[in-house]
Formats: sequence, C-alpha cells, structure tokens
Amino acid sequence: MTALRCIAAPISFLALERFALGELESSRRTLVEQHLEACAACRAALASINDDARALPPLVLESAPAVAPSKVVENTQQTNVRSIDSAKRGSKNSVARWAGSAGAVIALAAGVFLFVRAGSKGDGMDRPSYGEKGGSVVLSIVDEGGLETSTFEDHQRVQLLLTCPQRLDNMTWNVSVIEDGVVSHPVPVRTGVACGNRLPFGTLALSGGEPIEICVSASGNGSTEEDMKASGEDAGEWRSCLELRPKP
Amino acid sequence: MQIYERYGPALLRKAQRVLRSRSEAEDIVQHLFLELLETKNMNVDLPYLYRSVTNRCLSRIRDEKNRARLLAEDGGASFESRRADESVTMTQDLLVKLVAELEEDEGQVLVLYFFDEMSLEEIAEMLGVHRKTVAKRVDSIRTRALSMAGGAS
Repeated sequence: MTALRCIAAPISFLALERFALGELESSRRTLVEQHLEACAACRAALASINDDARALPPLVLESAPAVAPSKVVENTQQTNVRSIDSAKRGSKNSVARWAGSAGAVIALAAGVFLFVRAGSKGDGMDRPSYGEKGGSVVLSIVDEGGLETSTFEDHQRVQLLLTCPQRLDNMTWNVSVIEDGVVSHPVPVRTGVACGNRLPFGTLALSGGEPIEICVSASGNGSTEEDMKASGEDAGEWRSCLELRPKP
Repeated sequence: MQIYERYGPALLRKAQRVLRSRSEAEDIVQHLFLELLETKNMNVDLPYLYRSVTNRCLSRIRDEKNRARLLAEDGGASFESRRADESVTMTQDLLVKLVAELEEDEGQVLVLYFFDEMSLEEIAEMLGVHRKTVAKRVDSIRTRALSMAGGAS
C-alpha cells in the first residue's frame, strides 16, 4: 500500500498529539484544522492517534531500594506459610474480575508497587515447595526498609517479591488482591508479571482497614488461568499467597 | 498519576514509531515517568517529554545489544513519510546505522525531523537552536542517508 503524502509540509506528530489533547492555542489550532480539511495524509495520522485504543500499561516502580536476597530468604521462610490453602481459596474468584490498566495506574497513587525477582538454582534463593513440584514459587512482601512484612499502613509502599525456579522464568504471573471477599487484579493479565526481575512490574493498591490477601498464580505464556485449565494444565500448582493485615 | 495517563499514550506512539517495538516503547516511557516521580518533576509538557523520549530512543539504539536486535528483527521495515518531497526512505537499518555515526544533537534532529515529522521551526524551538542550524543538520543527515542507502543496495 502506498503511503499517503501530505499536500504541503505535514503537521508534525507532536502537533497532532497536542491537537488531539486540546492543547494547541487557538491560532495554531485553526491552522491545523484548515490543513486537516485539505490533507488526507494528516487526517489519517490524526485518526491513527484517535483510534489508538491500546491500553496504557500500569506504571510501576522499579527504582525501589534493593533487597538483599539473603534477608528476604530468611524472612520469607518464616512467614510465607499459607500459600496453597489460601491460594486455592483465592483462585475461585481470581478469574472473574481482571481490572484494566487504568485501575493499576490509579493504584499507583496509593504508593504501592510490586517487585518481581527470579530465583534460580545455586543462587541461594531456593525455597521450600509451596505447590510447584521440585521447586518453589514464593511470594513475599517487603517494606521500604527491605524487611519482610505481614502488616501494612494506609498508602504504605511495599515491594512484592516473587521467587521462582529458573525453569519458570518464561512463565507470566497474574496478581490477585482479595479484600473483604472481593477479588481485584491490579496488574492486567495482558501485561503479566514475570519471574526474572524484568519489566513489566505491576502496581497494587493496598489501603483501607481490612486484611488483604495477595496471590500470584501462573498464567502461562499470556494465557489466563481459564485457558490453562482448558488445556489441562493445573495453574493451581504454581501459586503463592500472602495475607497482609492493617497495622493496629 | 494524571500526567502519565495524559501523555503516556502519545509518548508510547512516538517511541514505537522510532523503535518499532511496543515493549521497548513501554520500557522507555516507564523509565521516563519513574524518573519524573523520583525527582517530583511533574510540571512538564508534551514537547519536553517528546524530547526526553527522543534521547532515550537514541540511547537505546546506540546500545550495542539493542542495535543488533533492531537490525536482526526489523531491519528492512520503513517509516512511511508524509513529506511529498522527501527523498530518504527511513528504514530501521538506516536509522541504526545513522545513529551510530551521528553526534548526539544530530541524532535528535534525525528523530524529530524524519520520524516525528516536525518542521525546521518546531525543531529549532525545541532544541533552542537557529532554524538554519537545523536545516544544515537535516541536509547533512539526508546526504549521509542517501549515501548509505545507495551503498547498501
């Protein structure tokens, strides 16, 4: 297909974006409007902007203070003990309500973020198994001081640390938050959360006065938990949950 | 974060236009806004962010690992210019090779002129240089691009 060419100097993409946002001053806006009336190429460029319906991915913070693996290992083994039971309880609801990315962006205002990291054999990160045979999928919550926590304050910033066996590095992970029986998914399933301390990270909202349960579950290569069940995979084997309680 | 919701999509489109990779574009935009958050610098407009994304795209292209990937994955893909009189067909191959040779300020002009299709006046205003300076840089880039494209064929 031959690209459309402009009748004169094209309206720049920056100007078109600002036009679409309503940011151009009136005189400039009038010029753009006049140009658009006559120029199919620029109309097409503007339409490509207006028609771009792709979701904005959640804004995630990866510049959080680094957590020493050894510290996390010790703390995780002490507190991450309710993975399977609570995970299965949470998973009953977890396929129902995937939130859009806008929700995740809004959630950032609460100042809570996820931090995902992969463990691998020999790196000192191996954990007792929480469902995945021969390996471990462990979730832990770490505060800004680098210490694992099981409590939270309103709008407290925390990291979510996911440790996986190396062979699950390509797996994507869904994050569910269960609060007062309501399941939300602040990280879109499309985006996923991967082992390996790579983007995308996710954003969670932790606020309010009720206990919150956070679960991660394997979703495969972009598939949802339902997809995995349909294909005979048991997503429930690769899951971990934690409960956070509001500080008294 | 209102500024992210407002300008994020435009910046993603811009970065993807240059890098031809949605995931790379998302990565660049994420890092930009994280830095803004860290510095609490929220009083920025779209032109400022456009320039920031331009620099980040250039840095990514200059990175040897990314350069190899860009060339391997989508080297022949071309950007469809709207300029009726533009003699350069900007491909990923050409972009990567040009960026490797150009000075930083020339690289900015390359992206702003050939991918964002900004006018000489707009670029001059954004970069704080004279219009004639921009025009010279565009001519220089075009000459090199045509030479490279001719040499490649």
